[in-house]
Amino acid sequence: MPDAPIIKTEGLGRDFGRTRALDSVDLTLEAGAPIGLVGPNGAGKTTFFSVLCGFLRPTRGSVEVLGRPPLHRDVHGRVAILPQDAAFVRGVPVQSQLAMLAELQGFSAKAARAEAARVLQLVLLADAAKKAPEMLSHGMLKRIAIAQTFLGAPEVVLLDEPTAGLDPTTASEMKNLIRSLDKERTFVISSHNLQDIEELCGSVVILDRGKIVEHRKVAELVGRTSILTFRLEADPPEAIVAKLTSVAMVTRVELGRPGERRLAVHFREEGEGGGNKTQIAVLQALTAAGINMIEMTRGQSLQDKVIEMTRPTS
Amino acid sequence: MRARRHIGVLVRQDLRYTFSSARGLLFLVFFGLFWGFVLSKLAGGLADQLGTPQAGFLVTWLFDSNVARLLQERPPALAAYLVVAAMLTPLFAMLASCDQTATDLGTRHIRFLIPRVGRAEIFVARLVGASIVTTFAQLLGGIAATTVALVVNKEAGQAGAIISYGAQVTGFLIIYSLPMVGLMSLVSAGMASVGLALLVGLGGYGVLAAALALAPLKGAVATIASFLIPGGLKPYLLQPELGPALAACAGALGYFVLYSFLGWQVFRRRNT
Repeated sequence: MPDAPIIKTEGLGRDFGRTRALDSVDLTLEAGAPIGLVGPNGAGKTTFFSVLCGFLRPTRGSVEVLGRPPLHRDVHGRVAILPQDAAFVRGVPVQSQLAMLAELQGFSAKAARAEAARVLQLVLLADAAKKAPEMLSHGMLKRIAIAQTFLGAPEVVLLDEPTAGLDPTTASEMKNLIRSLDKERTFVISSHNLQDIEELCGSVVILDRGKIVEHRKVAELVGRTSILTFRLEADPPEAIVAKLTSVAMVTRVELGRPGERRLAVHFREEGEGGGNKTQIAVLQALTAAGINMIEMTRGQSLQDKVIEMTRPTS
Repeated sequence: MRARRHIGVLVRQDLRYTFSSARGLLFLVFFGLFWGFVLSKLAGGLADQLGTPQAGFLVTWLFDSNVARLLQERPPALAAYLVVAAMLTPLFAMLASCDQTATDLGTRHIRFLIPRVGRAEIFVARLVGASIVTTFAQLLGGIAATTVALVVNKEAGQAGAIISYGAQVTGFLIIYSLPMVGLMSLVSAGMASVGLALLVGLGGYGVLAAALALAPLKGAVATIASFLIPGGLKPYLLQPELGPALAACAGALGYFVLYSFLGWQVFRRRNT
């Protein structure tokens, strides 16, 4: 099935007792640029991954991965996952364990050892090859778990919180690794670090309370051209709304919630450089009002957008 | 073909882990020390004494007349080994096979396996791995017991018969171990914890065995009730004739198939 979507769900639901972790999820994901899966805690991201991989059975609806049900033998080795909480076998060197997983993917014993060494090199842990898992730090184990997703040539790689628990340098290296490999396979990345998602992904799926709230390209979602988002030193006064609305081309002004110290200014772009002129006028109005900013973003950060879209209504 | 290869890879990993882990080595050391002690006693003259008509009275009272006949008609060291081993096989076999899918499920290591192999392959591989470990342990015990029987034998020209009966006894015990391996495949799939699986397996089996022993059942009801656990086969296994022992082996294989099937039903349905 060469043209089948990599993931297709219809009316997918998963309950835990009375809790609906996933509720009528209809989603079709195509192969291509990395896809982010975001949402607040309890949104259903890990449950969604678990259903995609066959760890959990859906309560309702259907799910297909690469045109097949998740546990179908045709899918074996073509989908890889970084599970959030799976452990390696204690007492057995990590390279041996990776080699065993590679053998399960069809490598001969000798080729599997070489493949294990290759993926350890990818995550910069060649030195840890002979060590047992209990000898390694949490961050190193995370990298080993990432390494196992690169064994062979999986077409779809599901990464659940790939940079959580990693120091900033290692997290950056892992992101570079994902970027370097994203032409060969489709990554679906679940993360609370929305900056990572914004940097890595072409599109994003937002889940909230088990439902899909949005599925769009990141560039469309964050409205790169028609919003100015400010992080301020203090919460802005209500009066600033009227002042900024009076600036030419400004269509709407949004204040963050108390304590968020945030301000978003929506404007219309007309004519060449119109956006820049509006930007300067808005900055002048803020300075005149004595409002000090820490950071200005042309567009809206993904984080702001996700917070906005998943904010409780009450 | 692919399934067989997957099972082979998983069994190899399983055995490597068992024979290199502290838990696996501890079991083998415990098993070896216990049988070392028992066999040294048998070699020290106890086996010969058990085979006398005087001891037969006591053995009949403790077990039944078939066991007394077994000790008199078969090489006594091997017969005594068979009696003790048949009593302790549930314990040792459960100890050796308590961790089949329990650690996979408990640590969620299975999440590294499921995207690569089928659940059936994982289940079968763990079952085969545990069966190999118990078989290996019984084989060691059987070889040691046969060696002791050869050493204490005073009659000329009996070596062939002793070796042949030693092989028979070892085969019986290997097959008699299998129901416990099947039982632990069921319990470990349900518990997802090695400790809990062992507790539930041994505890459940022990309580049921004790209840059956103490229940005031008689006749056919008692016979049928005794088959609630594989221990009901023991009286048939401990007879000097080959026929009842072979029937007990066939029964043991039936229990193995039944428990393993139930274990698979639990494992294939459970969330991981």
